Amino acid sequence: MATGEGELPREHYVNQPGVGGLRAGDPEQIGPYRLLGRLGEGGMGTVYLALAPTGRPVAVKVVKAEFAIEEGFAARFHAEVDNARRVASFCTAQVLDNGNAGDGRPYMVTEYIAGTPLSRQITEHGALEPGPLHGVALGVAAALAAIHVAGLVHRDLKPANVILSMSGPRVIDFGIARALDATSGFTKSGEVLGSPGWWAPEQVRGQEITPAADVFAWGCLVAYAGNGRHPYGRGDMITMATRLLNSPPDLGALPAPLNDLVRRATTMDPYQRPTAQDLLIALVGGGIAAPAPGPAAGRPAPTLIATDLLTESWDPPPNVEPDSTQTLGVIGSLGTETTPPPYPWTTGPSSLPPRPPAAPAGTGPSRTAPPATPEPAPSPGQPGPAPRESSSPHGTPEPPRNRRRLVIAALAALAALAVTAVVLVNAVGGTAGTGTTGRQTPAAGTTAATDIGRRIALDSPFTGPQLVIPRAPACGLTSYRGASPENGRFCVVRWVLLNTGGEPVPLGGPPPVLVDDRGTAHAPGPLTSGLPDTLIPGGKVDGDLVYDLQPARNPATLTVQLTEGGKKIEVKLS
Amino acid sequence: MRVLPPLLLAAALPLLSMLPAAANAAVAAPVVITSPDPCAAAGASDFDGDGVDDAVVGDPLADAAGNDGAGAVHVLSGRGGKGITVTASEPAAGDGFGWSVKLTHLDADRCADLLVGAPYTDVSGQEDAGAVYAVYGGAPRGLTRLTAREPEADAHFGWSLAARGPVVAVGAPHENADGVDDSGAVHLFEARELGDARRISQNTDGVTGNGEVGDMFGWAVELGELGGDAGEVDLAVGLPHENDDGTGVQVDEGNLDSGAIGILFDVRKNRGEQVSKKWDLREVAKAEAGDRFGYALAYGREGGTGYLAVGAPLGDGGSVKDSGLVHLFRAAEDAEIAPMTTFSQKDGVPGEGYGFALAFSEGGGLRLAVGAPFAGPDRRGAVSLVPVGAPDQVRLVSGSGPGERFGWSVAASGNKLVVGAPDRGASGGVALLGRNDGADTPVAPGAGNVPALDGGVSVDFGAATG
Repeated sequence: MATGEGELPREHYVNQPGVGGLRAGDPEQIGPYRLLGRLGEGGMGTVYLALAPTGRPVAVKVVKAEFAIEEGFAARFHAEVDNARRVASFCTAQVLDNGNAGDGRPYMVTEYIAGTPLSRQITEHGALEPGPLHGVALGVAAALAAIHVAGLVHRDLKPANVILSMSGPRVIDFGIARALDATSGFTKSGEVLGSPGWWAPEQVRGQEITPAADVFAWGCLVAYAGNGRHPYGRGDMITMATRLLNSPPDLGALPAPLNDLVRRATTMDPYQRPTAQDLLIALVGGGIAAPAPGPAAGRPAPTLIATDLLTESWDPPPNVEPDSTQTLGVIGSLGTETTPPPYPWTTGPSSLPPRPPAAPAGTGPSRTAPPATPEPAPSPGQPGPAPRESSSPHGTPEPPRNRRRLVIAALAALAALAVTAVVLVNAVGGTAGTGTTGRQTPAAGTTAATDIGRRIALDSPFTGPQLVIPRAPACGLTSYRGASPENGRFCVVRWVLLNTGGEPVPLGGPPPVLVDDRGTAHAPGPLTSGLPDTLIPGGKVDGDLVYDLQPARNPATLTVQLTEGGKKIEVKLS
Repeated sequence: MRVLPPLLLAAALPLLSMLPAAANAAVAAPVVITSPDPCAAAGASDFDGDGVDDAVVGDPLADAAGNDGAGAVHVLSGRGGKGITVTASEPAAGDGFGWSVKLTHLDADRCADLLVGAPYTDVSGQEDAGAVYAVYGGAPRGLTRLTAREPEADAHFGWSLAARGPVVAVGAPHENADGVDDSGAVHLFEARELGDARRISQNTDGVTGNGEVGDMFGWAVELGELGGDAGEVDLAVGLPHENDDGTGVQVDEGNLDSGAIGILFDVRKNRGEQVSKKWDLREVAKAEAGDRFGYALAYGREGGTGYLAVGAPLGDGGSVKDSGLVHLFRAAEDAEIAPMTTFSQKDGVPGEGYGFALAFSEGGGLRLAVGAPFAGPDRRGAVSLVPVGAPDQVRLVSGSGPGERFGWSVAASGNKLVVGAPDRGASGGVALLGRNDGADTPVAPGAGNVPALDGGVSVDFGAATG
């Protein structure tokens, strides 16, 4: 930040559409942050536009007093914000600071993202064209991937929390929902946390909330942005919840590959949804866990170019100012800009040039450098971005740089996610240099030689009992059946036990031990479903084992012992 | 998911029929079929009527539509190998739909129909009582659910299945028949009506043997012509946990779990008293405790002669302890079934499970496929293809990866053999083997033409084939 920005007149910010003036009773200052105006107010608290001591404009979110007085709330709040501060700032508003206001209310500070909320954009201008739509889908997926890799769940992703800024879409307002959830499960106004229409089915059912809930919201959000209407229609909370649980979403007509991705993301079963990382990979042209060997090379990657289109062709409504974090120096010139017609591009993705050869095919940690030159040149038959370029306000980063930014952000996100995971492991573990060189979360869809889906003989192969772990463990959960983990994240291992032999099998062994990817052993938590004393001939029982792992750790093996002192069977989970 | 319209209809109809009459009347739109007979060109085991025999693969532990362990069944269409997915009309977690599968002919059209066992289905509040679903190929038709007349908890009705001509047989080996724990029962249905079941246990009049604890009568069932009246169907029942303890009721005597089979002649006609025969393993081969004779059954026919193959997967084949054996029975024209010969693995290894699964492939020289799912040093499994007329010309096909249990299930479909490898990868897989040539085509959900389960997870694909 250049010095002197703090001297800009306060009114300049307050006059921005979307920024309201301070009201009577609003403090002048929260912590070291001088309040300039109001950005919004919700069930949780109030968000102010403020100036940091450095002169940087920031958003300060102060929680309502009724939460603040609850015992232990402040501690949970700060713990969550500390987690949120680890989230890489790809397409998110970076969390900068947190503290307690003079009256004891906890607050958090994020980057101020100047721009238009997606919700207002759709309400005022209707559905997005394919180009910008792909950009929004990509940017939000990148944001979710960054949030999820930090072990967090947004829980309240909705169009109002996606800001369309000059530099692309940014996701705001993540990181503290869980602290509120653990408080009462309800906000003061009686709403279930989250917002009607943007809940995942499991949220409505009160089941565990995983990153998959955010992916569901991503699907709804993209469908909403692409069609201009909500996939579950309109209605009150009960209506929306009922529809959500009983009828398929109306996904309208979305351009490929969004139609397929959105359909998968809005699957009822959270386990079946792609991860944010899957979405990210698919959107930058990698395809999603595609088992069929397709012509990967030479396939056009509409999303990359669409992203360019977003940054090039984005016509900000008058209220959108250049992203404060990048171009604060030109704020003063904004007022001279006239409003160009929105969304001049009608080019479909099919006529777009093929993706650059350097586009990612995987998520290897070695991928540290973004592609040197993305292809900027539009094909001859394509409507060029010339009109917008020629009318660019002076000082705005010129199109080639702009064009590249989101792509680079997305690629950097891909490359850095694995790295981030390693860094987090070290940060959380507190000891660096443990020799975990590049260990990373296994990519979704890979089928390494694990014991998932196998009938594991616990005794003689077909006269003894068989254990099956039917699916990969569901990890990174911040709640399970209403309980919250004490150490980090829940990891739930589904199991089935079959006795196809002729004799009853006594079940009296010690609880199965899960060993994580750093070699730590864990005993299952009390939430684990119990076992009968005996498994009758032909009998089949199933249940969940629930482990509480430190964030960013993954299960490696499960050691099962059928009877006390019996044979120990090691089950490979990854 | 590729689901044929008939299946969608099939899935919807039972739901409708459960509604109150008024509601039913309101929603029951007429089903208009204007297309020509979709089965006009159907082959022998041709579910979709495209003229090529199909194969069926069960995945009883699959997560179907978000229901853990509800189970799913895949029909592999013969032409192009395209897959059709079938799930229960109301899949419930843990049902085990696809535990057993059988392509057969139930109704009058030329298309094959499908029977699917779901032995862990709760019925009338009885947990794990079990059910069987009939899914009709060809023109749209509602699917039918079969259950025991008096569903019993943990009976596992649908554990095994057989169908031939006018008879459908369903095994419930863990039924506490006649008050005896896990003595087991078989339920018979008329293929056309699939109405009320006739229940047969070892205590049914005329059935040789007595129900004893843990016999598991009905573990395996098969139907064929085995020496009863010409044109009448005879029933073969496996009791792998029977002890060869002679006549009368004994428990824990003789060779425990050496196993036995029972043959009930003209089972459909003999309504009052059954006419039956029974073989303990020791009557046809050297027997020991735990051999499990009757674990698997298969019937094949060549010329006028019927063959029944019976597996004892822990039998001492070729005098190698617990390597497994298969005994072949023969019923020549107008003659009653009689023991014929014993097959075993050439260089058997204890515990390889030869005889765990069996199927006959008919046409151009009858062949018997014998699964040995734990064969090989890394237990990848194998299947032996044994020409009945020249048993020394065995062809051995092994699994493609360690521990995949290749040969866990086998079935014949036209000129192909379908071999299950339920532990191949996380989803499981099957191989389509050419009957005569060396073709070995791997098939798995989500690969090639077999669609992945929509909103589900494949777990045990290949646990059953039919």
